[in-house]
Amino acid sequence: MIDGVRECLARALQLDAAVVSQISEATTAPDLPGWTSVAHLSLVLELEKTFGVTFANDEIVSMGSVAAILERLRAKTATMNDE
Amino acid sequence: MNEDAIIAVRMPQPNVNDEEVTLVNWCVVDGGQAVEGQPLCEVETSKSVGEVPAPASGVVRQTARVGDIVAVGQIFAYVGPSIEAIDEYISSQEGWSPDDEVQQTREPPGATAGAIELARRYGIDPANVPATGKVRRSDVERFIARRGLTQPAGKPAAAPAPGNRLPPALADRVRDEGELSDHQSAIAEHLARTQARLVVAHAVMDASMEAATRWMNTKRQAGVITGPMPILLHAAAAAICSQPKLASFRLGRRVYRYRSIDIAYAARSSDGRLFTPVIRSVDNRGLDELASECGRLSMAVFRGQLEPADMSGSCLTISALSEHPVRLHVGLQNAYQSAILTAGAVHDELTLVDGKPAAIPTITLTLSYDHGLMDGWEAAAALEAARAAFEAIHD
Repeated sequence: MIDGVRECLARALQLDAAVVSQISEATTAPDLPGWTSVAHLSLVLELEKTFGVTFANDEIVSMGSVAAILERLRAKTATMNDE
Repeated sequence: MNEDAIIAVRMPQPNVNDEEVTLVNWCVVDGGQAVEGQPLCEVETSKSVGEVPAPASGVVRQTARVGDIVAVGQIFAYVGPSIEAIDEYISSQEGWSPDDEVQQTREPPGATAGAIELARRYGIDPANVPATGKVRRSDVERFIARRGLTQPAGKPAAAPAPGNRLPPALADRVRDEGELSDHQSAIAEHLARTQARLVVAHAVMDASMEAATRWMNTKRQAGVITGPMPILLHAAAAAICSQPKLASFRLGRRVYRYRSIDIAYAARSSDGRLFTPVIRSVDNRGLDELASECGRLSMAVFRGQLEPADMSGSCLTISALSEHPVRLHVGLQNAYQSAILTAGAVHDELTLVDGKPAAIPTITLTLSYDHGLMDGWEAAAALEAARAAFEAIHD
């Protein structure tokens, strides 16, 4: 799952490969200068497209770290699997 | 106006976010005489009731009824030398009849009038357009973009109005780049009309970004993504509390003031269209709550899902170009507002701190206001209140 998140971050924040390879679950928004509030909107759409999930508009503000994104994705995909 | 000319009267956009209006009253009866510049009808928008002036003097043929929902840009009347001449002209337009036009203004369940009007132009059945709930104009625009549809060739484009004709001397020097999109055109006309009513002046002031940067960094460390907009909203509310005229506007000699400090901010959708979502009761919200609300509304804009209720009734607008290296950014007021607060990008200003030179992150705030409503002293005091609030924020 983290590889998919890396790809989404790379596309939304227009990161080069060297930066992408450094992204881990510990990466937070301050680690990636291009992770602005505007770029974050593109990131959310990339995540939704890649993982086939939908985030509520009021939950996206607190997704400012890879760990937070993974947590949300795991919760949503678990719900989908239960269904 | 040429005495024999027949003018198709299209519904103007009274508010940048309104795609359709409700016709609430005709000021000139069907077959009656319109006078250029005098009210032709009254329409209700998401914000208010306003008058639509007649574009020319002449006999009026109504093609919409009171209570109809009319899409912006849709023909709702004709003005010409006589009813007979107008009806003859209408009949000559590819089988069109007044009854057809009235019928088209009816809103069948499942689609807005704006969506129907756009879909009709592209030969699309609105029922085939994917949408969550009622099909809106933005749904049709996405449908068109995804399929790369082009507007089918139909009637030749109407001749441009005299003021819009290209001067012959420029004919060989320029290239015809086609028409603006409906959205762009509506915004341009809306802003031009609004600016024509205002006496615009500007006040400019720098504000230190140190406190704002600390706040944003603290939030980012905590995993909360936010830009400077919540702080700008907080600062704008402080300015309005200091100078309530910022929440007022003029209509002729009458002045109206908004009862609540609801502030709009400019945001772009993923396909580049401009919207102005509104944060309610900004003066009663903390920064964290403002950040959360900005995130929710910005995402809705980005997805093209903003609801009309999210865009109506704001007393002031904020526009920030923090993503670009623009220092001074002057905005244009929206309808039924007298002021807009804008912010450029953060830049360093060299100043003396304890006798030593230091680079201070700074943002330039510009307040564009209606000098017909408030003077420069009042505007400067309001901007100073905004600056003070902007610099005084803390966790």
